[in-house]
Amino acid sequence: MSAETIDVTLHPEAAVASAHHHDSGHDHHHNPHEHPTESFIKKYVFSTDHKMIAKQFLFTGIFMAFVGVLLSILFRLQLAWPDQDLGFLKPMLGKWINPEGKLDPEFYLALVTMHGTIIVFFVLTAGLSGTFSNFLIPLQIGARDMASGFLNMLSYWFFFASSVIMFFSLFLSTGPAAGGWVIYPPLSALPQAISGSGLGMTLWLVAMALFIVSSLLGGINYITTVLNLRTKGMSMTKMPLTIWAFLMTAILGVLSFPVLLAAALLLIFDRSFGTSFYLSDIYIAGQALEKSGGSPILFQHLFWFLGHPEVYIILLPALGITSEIISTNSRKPIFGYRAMIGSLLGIAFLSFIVWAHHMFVTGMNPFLGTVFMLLTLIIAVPSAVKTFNYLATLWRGNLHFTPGMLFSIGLVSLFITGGITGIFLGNAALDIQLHDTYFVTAHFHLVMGSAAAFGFFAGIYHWFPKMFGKMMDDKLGYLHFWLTLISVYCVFFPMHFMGMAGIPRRYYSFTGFDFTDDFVNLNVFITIAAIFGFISQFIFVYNLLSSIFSKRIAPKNPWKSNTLEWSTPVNPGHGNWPGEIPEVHRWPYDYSKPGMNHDYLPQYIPDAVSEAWDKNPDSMGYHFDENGNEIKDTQAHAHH
Amino acid sequence: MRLPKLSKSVQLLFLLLLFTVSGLFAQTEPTSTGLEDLMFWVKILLGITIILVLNVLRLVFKVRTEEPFANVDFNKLNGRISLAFLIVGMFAAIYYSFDLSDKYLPEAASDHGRIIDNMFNTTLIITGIATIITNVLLFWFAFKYAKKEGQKALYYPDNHKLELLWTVIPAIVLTTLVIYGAKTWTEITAEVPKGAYEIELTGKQFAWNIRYAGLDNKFGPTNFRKISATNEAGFDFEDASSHDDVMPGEIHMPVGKPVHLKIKARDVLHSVFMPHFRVKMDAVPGMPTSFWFTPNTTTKEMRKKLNNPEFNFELACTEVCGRGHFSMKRIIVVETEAEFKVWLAKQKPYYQPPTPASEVPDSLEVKQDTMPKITMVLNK
Repeated sequence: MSAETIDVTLHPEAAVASAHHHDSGHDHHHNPHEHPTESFIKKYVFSTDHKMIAKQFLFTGIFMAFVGVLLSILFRLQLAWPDQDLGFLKPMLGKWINPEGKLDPEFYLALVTMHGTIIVFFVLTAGLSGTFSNFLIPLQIGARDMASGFLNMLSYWFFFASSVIMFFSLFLSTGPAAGGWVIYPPLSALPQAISGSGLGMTLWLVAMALFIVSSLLGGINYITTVLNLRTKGMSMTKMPLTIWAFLMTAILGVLSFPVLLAAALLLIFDRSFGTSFYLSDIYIAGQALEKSGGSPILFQHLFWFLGHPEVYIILLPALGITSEIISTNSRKPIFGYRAMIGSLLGIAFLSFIVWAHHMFVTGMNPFLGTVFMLLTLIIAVPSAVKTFNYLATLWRGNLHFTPGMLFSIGLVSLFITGGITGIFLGNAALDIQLHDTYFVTAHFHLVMGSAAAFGFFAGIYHWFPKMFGKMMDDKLGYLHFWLTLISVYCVFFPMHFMGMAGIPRRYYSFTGFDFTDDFVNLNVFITIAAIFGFISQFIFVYNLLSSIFSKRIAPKNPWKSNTLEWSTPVNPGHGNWPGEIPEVHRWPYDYSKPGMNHDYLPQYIPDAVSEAWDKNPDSMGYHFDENGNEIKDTQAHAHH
Repeated sequence: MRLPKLSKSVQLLFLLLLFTVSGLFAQTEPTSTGLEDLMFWVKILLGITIILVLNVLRLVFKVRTEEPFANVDFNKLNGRISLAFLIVGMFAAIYYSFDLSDKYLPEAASDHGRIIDNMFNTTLIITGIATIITNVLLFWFAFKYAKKEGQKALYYPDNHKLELLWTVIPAIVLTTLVIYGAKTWTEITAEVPKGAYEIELTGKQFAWNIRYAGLDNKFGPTNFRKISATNEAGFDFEDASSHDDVMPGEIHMPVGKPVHLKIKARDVLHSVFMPHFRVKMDAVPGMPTSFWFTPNTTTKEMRKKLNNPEFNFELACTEVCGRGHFSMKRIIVVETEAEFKVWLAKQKPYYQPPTPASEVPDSLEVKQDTMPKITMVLNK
């Protein structure tokens, strides 16, 4: 790294308001966040500062990720070694390991269910959006904080409450929810069908209701902030692609999560209040139920109306993060900025009208199958455009391989490989054979599970200096990346082969059928690769935690990026900028502009002074008047 | 904290030890093809990684009086590893796709199944080419354009012609696939042809009830409220058409003739999956579903084809339904139409008629004159 001015770490409490009203006729907002010293509770627990809330989401997300991946290792042990005595797991799993050392088949399904639920919702939705939308939106658009710090705080604490309930449901004596993460009734409605559908399912529904509240609060906040609190000069088409992605994600969430809540409410009614929205003609446990007229298909429609946009809620932030990181580290503008926005809009819109491609073989009217097949294959087009634009950005760039950059490149690879198999599955005729087989599992783990996780990692490595004022160890980062990329492909690529052999999902064991017997051994390879991958993540956790307490103070703009967040002090306090908020004069992608010495030109440098800036960047701050004269030393105005 | 220095010879010794020790635990039974290769590569990968990780950790923990990696150009290294990853990964993916091909399903045993398989292969070729080209470009660019002294990036923000080109071409390719798919889907989901042989499959926790209509070719009416230990399907035995229905433990089908599956579920969602025929349809409580197809290979022919005298077509459940989801198996036998008719005739009806009056003991007999006279009044 070249010599950048290293800022002295500012004490957050000293970032006080400037009472000096800049007499320029524009309405710049001063920093109104005067604080006497904050209590520990106000600063770290019930904080309304978007940066602290982002970190709360981050650490809760990492904890839930650990739990979710651990659950997957447990069920993979069963798949790889079905004849093995798993008695050594008794201290952790208790009665779910029977006296012969075999894992209980109902608990196997519970593990699979909770793994999916925790990773999809708690890690990749709340963890990913909650961390990065919260952290980056105000910083990148030039706002002091979110539109409502209070709602933001509530959003985190609802998420926390939801996580606590979901986590503790793992320890119920009747077991956690076990009907698959999609919890289709009647299995999820009837405790007599599987024991996890008793209290475990009730707690699942309660936790998800709280989760949905959290998501809605967050989403409303993000949309309002992006639309209303952009700084002067930050038009919509000067926003970084991260913000576009977060905005579309929030819109998707606000429109689709309520439908999941509706589905869940109707399920609660069927379970506890004698209704039969989803149930009809059922004979179970020796009894004909007095439920009539309902349809399980109704649940599936309601669920997938959220379920499909949900996967884009997961993926879009990761794509936005990747656009930003690839551009910055290629020292090149993102190729096709407007096409990238267009494809984000296209994907977001189309994601609402493809949901029934999850339902081709449910027995719904085949004509619906034709319609949804057509719409599903259309959505492949904007995804392809995004991929080509990433490739074109890398082409003839000058690539800096930070760990963030490596994970972004890895994301593109996973997006391609995983996304392509969506074309098979979106074809209803092919889906007849492939639905509910390992082919589907391979598809979504590559394109959503792994790609979004890589986006999560990329974002952490890239914005760690801004979050914690320190630098992570990049060598450990490289090691973490390569080990994770290799293990992810080793785990999920072979599953395509299993799908082509017709192996169904959610099978406790492959020894029940001749046609599944051949793959008993491949399971061993996959499980070993999965354990390998799981262990590699400890390199990351070690790196993250030790770097927070290390002495590697970050420079102000370690990646020489153009976006606004790098203009704050190294440890931004409340209100982000100690003086006035910078104004924006150009889009954020002027990297390697011809005729310049430096290969970047931040958004907030006016054209009038860009030449002077180019000669000596360190001589300037971020605040200029309308003639391009720098207004220095805003801290001189600070007073209590 | 210092980790002991690992000289090259110690590292080699470690690799040797790893292979020897794991060799001792090698399976004594022959494993399926490909596993030995896989385990070999796993061991190599594991060994190299453990050594790498130990080395890195050792250096990272080193007291920071010196920059241990001062001479390593990590950018170049990452670029080179990108290329290596591409080559090894692409090779492994393609190689094992072919190597494991004996484990994929054999040629489809149904007419529509052959069409589906052709469509799969076509899609695989088209999308495979796209996947390979884009991944190659990705990792090749990573290698080629890694930061170097004097290299400047090209300021090239957009090209509308190019955007149009790579929007239109995927759109055309996908449209072709959609049309092909929609046509096939419409054919598969078309009306059941007249004269199709009907089989009713009812999914329950955790088995499939199989029912044929018997000689009258009519399925007896059923009602879930009538289900009991002695009335598996919930027959209404008042209706005589239920008296000849049979409920065998095996599914038989005539080759070359359309077969219509009438699919029901008794308690939770199940799904009928006949992988060799490329047949799948969910079983929904409260909503009977339907799938028809034409088997084109008999069990005997399949056994000869696969050189496996033990081979059987199988029915599996493919919608999670509880603890026994993974073991809901039924054998399917495909035979000539004549053989099928013979087999069907041999099946005993489910209905057990009640004991005739002449065999009822005296003590239980109902006295005729205590019975109320019932006159039937026919309405004109």
